[in-house]
Amino acid sequence: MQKTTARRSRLLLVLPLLALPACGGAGYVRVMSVNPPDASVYINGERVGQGSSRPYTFDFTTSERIYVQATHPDYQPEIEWFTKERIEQMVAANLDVKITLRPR
Amino acid sequence: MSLLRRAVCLSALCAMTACAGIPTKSFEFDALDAAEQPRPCLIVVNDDWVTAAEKNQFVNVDSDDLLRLEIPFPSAEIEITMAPVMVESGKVTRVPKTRKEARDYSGFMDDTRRLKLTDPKRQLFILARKSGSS
Repeated sequence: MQKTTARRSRLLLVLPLLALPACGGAGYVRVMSVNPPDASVYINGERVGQGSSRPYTFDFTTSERIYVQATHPDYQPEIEWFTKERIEQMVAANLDVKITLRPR
Repeated sequence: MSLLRRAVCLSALCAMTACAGIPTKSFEFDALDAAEQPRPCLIVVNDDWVTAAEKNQFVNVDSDDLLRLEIPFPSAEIEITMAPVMVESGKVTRVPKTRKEARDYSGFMDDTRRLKLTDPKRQLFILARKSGSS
């Protein structure tokens, strides 16, 4: 009886811990790269740097969509929108975020 | 359920619907060109060029700034057009009334985006040069 109660208590402690990653509170990390690598990258309108490969956390806590823009003076600017579902599919397929700019 | 109770429930529902109204969201709009320089633009909501001009919905005309707009969402999505304009001595030389006019007189392409209520507050548009313009 005592053993069962202890097991139940342990289960009650573990269950919320299992639920935490399922909520995706920390977001989804994907490697993002832009071609050409010296193109500037903006995420949700904020400049995050240049296009060389880097991990980025897609956090959907403040908006349901995230947009990524890349620009370079010699290329056409590009924009891509990401939803939680799209990122989850990319995580499942182990796909990175790649944006290729077209020359002007 | 008694008639009185039903009437009270119905009135409460009516009051809630009336209070809800049309949802709005405050967005911040900014525009750059491909070289990341501020680009003067007129911001047009749902193709209403007249209101955009009347309410001076311009960005980057006097200086590098952004435009905050409280946007109502009568439907799930609204359409934003970032129309490039020409500026001389801090004044817009010609206020466009169509996307074509904006393109023809600025040397830049306009850009259109459909926004949802749940989209990021900051909306940056990066405008490409018209092909053939330097």
